[in-house]
Amino acid sequence: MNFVTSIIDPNKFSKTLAPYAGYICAIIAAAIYGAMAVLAKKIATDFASPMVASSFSLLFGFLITAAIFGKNAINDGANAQKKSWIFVLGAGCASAFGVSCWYLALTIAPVVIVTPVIAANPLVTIFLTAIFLRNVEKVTPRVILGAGLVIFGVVLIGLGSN
Amino acid sequence: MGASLGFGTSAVLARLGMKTIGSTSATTVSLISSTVITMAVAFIFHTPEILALPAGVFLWFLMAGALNFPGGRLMNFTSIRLIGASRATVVISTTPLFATAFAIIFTGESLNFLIAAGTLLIMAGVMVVVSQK
Repeated sequence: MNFVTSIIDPNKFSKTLAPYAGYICAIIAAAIYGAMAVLAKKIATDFASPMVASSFSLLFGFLITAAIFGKNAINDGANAQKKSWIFVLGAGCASAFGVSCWYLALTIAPVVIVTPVIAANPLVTIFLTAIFLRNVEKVTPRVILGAGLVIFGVVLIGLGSN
Repeated sequence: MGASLGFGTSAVLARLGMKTIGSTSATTVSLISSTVITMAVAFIFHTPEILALPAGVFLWFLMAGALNFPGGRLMNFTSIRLIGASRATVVISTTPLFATAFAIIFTGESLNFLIAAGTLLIMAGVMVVVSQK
């Protein structure tokens, strides 16, 4: 629990690592999602369809997360703006919509086509950030260049894996 | 395109929401709407399959849920809060790199030229983003 707290609270990082806390979290997330891809393939191949596996994993994930962090959400509830909750619920809806479309796409189109299109999602985020978050964060040419390189790399790995 | 739009929009909405909410609370609340929607879709299209699932399979679902959401989504939202939606999404989109590495290590899949070239490009892309002050 202390480990989790130190990861999600940059004030508890060492001074050297603090500026990179967000990047470290993002890499940990990518590593977890990568491990999940292998686990999900095993589950979807041997036990259940991907949509069923995803929905029940979400249910268990929610129950565990609520058990650990539900108290934080209740405490935040008193202080946070109502529209913040709406945005966060919307983020959950958008994510679920993405997962549902992903599975639907995989049933009607080859993986070699689906993978590159989904890999382009950082471009969607960058585009929406430039429109809706222009007062909060700046989209720089370096971020766009980095996104382009990562997407091209993901497409090559997708082609190489198939 | 719908999947790409969904994932891309989720990061921006999470960033907007986390102006006044911590990432742990945001993760918990976002899972409510995600769970309701995917459970509804699953029951609409797969009810017979769900009713026929053996009990042991739910342990696999539990393991996947425990890893993916209190782990993956929490780190995802925390990174969005700390470095912004655009940078976090670029770094998190390196997921196939890790998936391929785990597949090579644990399931014996082989490395080839395209995977090696893709890996180098992903690392270069992340370095370009991270090295920005």
